[in-house]
Amino acid sequence: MIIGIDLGTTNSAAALWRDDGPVLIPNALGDFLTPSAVSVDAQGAVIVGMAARERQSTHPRDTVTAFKRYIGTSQTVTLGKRKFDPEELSALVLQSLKADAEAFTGTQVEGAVITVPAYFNDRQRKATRRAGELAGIKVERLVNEPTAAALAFGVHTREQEPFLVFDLGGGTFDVSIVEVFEGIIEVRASSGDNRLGGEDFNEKVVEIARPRLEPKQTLDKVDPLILQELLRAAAERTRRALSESDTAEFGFVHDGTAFATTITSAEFEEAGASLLQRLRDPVLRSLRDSGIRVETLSEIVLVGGSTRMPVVRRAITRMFGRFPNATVHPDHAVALGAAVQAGLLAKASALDEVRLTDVCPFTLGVDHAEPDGRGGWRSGLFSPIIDRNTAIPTSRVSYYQTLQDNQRSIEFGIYQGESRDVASNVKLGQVRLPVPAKPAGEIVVECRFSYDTSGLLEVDVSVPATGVSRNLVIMDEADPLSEAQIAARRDALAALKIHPREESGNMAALARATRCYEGFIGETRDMVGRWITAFEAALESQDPRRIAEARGELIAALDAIEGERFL
Amino acid sequence: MSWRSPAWDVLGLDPTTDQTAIRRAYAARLKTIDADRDPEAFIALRDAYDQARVEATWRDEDADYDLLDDDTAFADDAAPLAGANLAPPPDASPPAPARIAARGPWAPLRPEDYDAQVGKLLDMFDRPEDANPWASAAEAEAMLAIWRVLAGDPRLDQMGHFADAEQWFAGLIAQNRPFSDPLVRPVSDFFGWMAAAGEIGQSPAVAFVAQRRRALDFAAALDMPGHPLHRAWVELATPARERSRRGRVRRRDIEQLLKTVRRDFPDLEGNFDGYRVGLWTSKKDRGWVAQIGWWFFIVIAIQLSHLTKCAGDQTPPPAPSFVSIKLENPRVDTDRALESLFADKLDINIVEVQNPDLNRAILAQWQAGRDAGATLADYAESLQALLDKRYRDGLANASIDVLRERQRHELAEARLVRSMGAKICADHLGGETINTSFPLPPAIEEQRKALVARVLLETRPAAKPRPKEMRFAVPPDVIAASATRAGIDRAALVRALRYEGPAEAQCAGRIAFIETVLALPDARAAPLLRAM
Repeated sequence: MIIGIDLGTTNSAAALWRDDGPVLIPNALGDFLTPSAVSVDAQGAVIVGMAARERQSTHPRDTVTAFKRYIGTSQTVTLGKRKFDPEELSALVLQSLKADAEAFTGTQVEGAVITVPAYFNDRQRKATRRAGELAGIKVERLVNEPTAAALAFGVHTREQEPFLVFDLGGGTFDVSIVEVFEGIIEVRASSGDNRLGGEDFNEKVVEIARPRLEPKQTLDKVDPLILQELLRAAAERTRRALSESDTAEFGFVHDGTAFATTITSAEFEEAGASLLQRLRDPVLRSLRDSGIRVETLSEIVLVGGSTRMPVVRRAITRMFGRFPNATVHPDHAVALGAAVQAGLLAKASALDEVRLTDVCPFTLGVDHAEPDGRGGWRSGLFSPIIDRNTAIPTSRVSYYQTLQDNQRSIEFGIYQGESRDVASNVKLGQVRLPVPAKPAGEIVVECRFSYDTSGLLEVDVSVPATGVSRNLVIMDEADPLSEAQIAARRDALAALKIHPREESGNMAALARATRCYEGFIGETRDMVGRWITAFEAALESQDPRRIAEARGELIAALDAIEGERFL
Repeated sequence: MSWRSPAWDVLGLDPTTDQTAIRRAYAARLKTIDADRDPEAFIALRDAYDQARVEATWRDEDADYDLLDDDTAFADDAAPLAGANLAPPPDASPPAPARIAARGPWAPLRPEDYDAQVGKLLDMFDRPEDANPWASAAEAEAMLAIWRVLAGDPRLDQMGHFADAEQWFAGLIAQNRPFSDPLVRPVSDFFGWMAAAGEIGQSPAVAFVAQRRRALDFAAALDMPGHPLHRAWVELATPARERSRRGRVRRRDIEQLLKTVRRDFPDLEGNFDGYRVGLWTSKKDRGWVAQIGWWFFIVIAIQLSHLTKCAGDQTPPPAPSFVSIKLENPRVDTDRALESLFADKLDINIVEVQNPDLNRAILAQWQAGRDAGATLADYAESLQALLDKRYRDGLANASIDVLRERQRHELAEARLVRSMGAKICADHLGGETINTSFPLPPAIEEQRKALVARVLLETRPAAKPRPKEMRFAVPPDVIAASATRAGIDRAALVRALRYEGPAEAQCAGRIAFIETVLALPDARAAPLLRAM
């Protein structure tokens, strides 16, 4: 069975194709969304999901979230006694989703379609793929998130004039312009910003609120790591509250002291103005690249939890001069779309007439030198071979000449990006080819780039004169892992003690209660303490029915004091 | 039957201008292939689809260069902002006078007002051909005032309007350079063109304005007295009639400025005075022949003056101007020409004896010249060219001794050039043209002439030209010795030999290399000397 997985910055979800539509897969708690959070308990056992998310306020040193922002880099985090890199953390989340899917359907999960932001570069994509492998999942395809949302939106329509998918998630922003004709879903252009999301808006709230919190001396004495987490969580709550009213409280409790202040919607909008401004560039670029005018767009489809913010909705309405389409569930669309893609790969009969064509969002090329008009050469310039927004799979050729007399070899650096100087672009690899010694310009080298649907780039360079050629499949320079090494890492991960799925409901409830205990003061705190004791007693009884009952009671009680928990 | 491109065959269509039909054919075909398993099939189909769409627009005479069905691409042409985005036009009847009076400066602007401002801006730009290309201070003020109003247009929040406005302003500024210079900074700041300045996807107009902005910023920096190239800038920009600061500006600064401007800011070159630039830059070095050419004419001129001054019994008739002397006697003419080229190192007698083949060639040249009615000056020039070629050919077949001598000469020259600076030395050794504003001392000149003469005399065109050595492999001990001699490490020397790395290392490395090779015995030195 192939499932679709939305591996998000804040939350992840899984779905599968069933008969004639995609269906979301609930996790052990019954939710469709699983927080992308990993925590480690005192014994070193790993906790994934909601429970981990709850533990972030109470055990910030042992918990990590938003690791998607670091995937593709070599940054690691130490939880307990072990170091984790972003791939391993993502793999743990993927494993948990896999387990949920197997429990839901009763069949084995062999492969998955995993979504990535459209603007993820090659390194980040490779790392995501590795995360899948580490989780023991065959990654059938990586799909761009806005494309997946477009799939979910447009799979049942046969014709749809070009529409724009506006995907603002927890950490990334993507824009895609998609069109449907004759059942073929075709992406016309894609663009985005990898460092723009709900988390950035949280930071803006913190910026406003922090200076206002009193008493300052107490605040300064708090451990910075804990303080950072407390501020972030409070900002998240405030941001959501501002979705509903014009003013909201920003507050948290630490060590018995309560810190609080108020924030108005207007202040938030003003502080977020620079972020809202950044939303425009990818939109402009996509419109320009596809050549489609704003007036002819049929819909603006909102995807991603952060599009719920009124400030963002207002900005979008201003940008496009019309109200956006919010009929697709912003948190679920991507996972559902991934499931559609899984169905396409499995050749589901209902999808017989449906095809998807995506584009590569970055320009790919090599570095070269150009004459500067005065007899000299200007080197380090980018020569595009595959232009951005070319339909994939694609294959393009360019020809280059030697620069000097008796040049021995010709070396190509392979880059991805939009800048004219290769120094500002991302280097993917390089390939070197020997050439016969001839006067400058007499040797012509052919360079062919082939880019396939999985985002794998293959480079073929050859010298027609001698027939010498080199082929390079772009591997990640930083970490060329062999099969054996990957297998070893996978086993190491599998050897980790992970709390079983069945426990996750109880763990989540307990973690939430602990968080509430620390987050309230006075009488409420005492009450929470008593509930925790009652629940722990029920757990010790090992009676499943009693445990389930107690859990239900606990959750209801917590809901009463802090409102329903949100994701 | 006219040719039809294979794209139509792939799609299974007859050539048509109906974009919908093309699209349908593509869709149908696409469903029959599996893009994942068979990427080549997809690529072929997609290329055919793109090709067919483009062809359809060509065939359609009424189409206006749209590659997409109904969507018009963003246009770079200066279409005024008054377009479909506007509010409905005001009433046909003029507003009552009372209402006009009621609108004071505090009233918010309506879309019509913005468009009126656009109209004003366009009027400003609509100038007669002979007007001053640069904007006056008053005009600049007016432009900026209009711009400030337009930047406040609330319609700019909308993406469509914003994109149109961006293109329109980019086009307007780009097409009216340099009159539009006052607008360059505020407009490029507003639209954020500099942030994405280096990108390849920018529209040409925007890229142009971004480039202009950089040029203007650079010019402003140069205007500041503290800038290292300030003096050079002022010197080159002063009109020719005014005094030159030639004595107070370093040549190096002028060259640096010219190089930077030519490479990065070509449109600033318009600020320079052409005459001044000409004064400072010198001719390209065409090699020893060109240098000698100058001396040639100077020497002839001096000889002429000798002739005319020569008083005494035998007053020879005033020698006619050199340019009009006709070719009369091969030996005499050649002698004169050779004398100027080689002084006493080479004359026709020597040539006749030592290299009859060369002699024949020269005579043939003279004959051709005479038949063509050339003057002595022309003949001298053609002789230069002939000898030049033979010299180069000769080097390819020369003996070891000659090659050694050549390297010795190179070495001497290199050492001399090195005293002028590492950069010049590196450039010279790398074969790039050097500034020939410094004359080579006579000793080196003599050596050069002697070398050339020797090559010409000794070598004959071989029946089979020796194959040019393709490999230039240097034995490692030679590299090691050179590196030690130069005082740099091996890797640096190898780079220096490839003309890479810092100038000092290149210079020292190259010189040391020549010295080392010269010190080798013949057998080992031969292949190296031949390839050098």
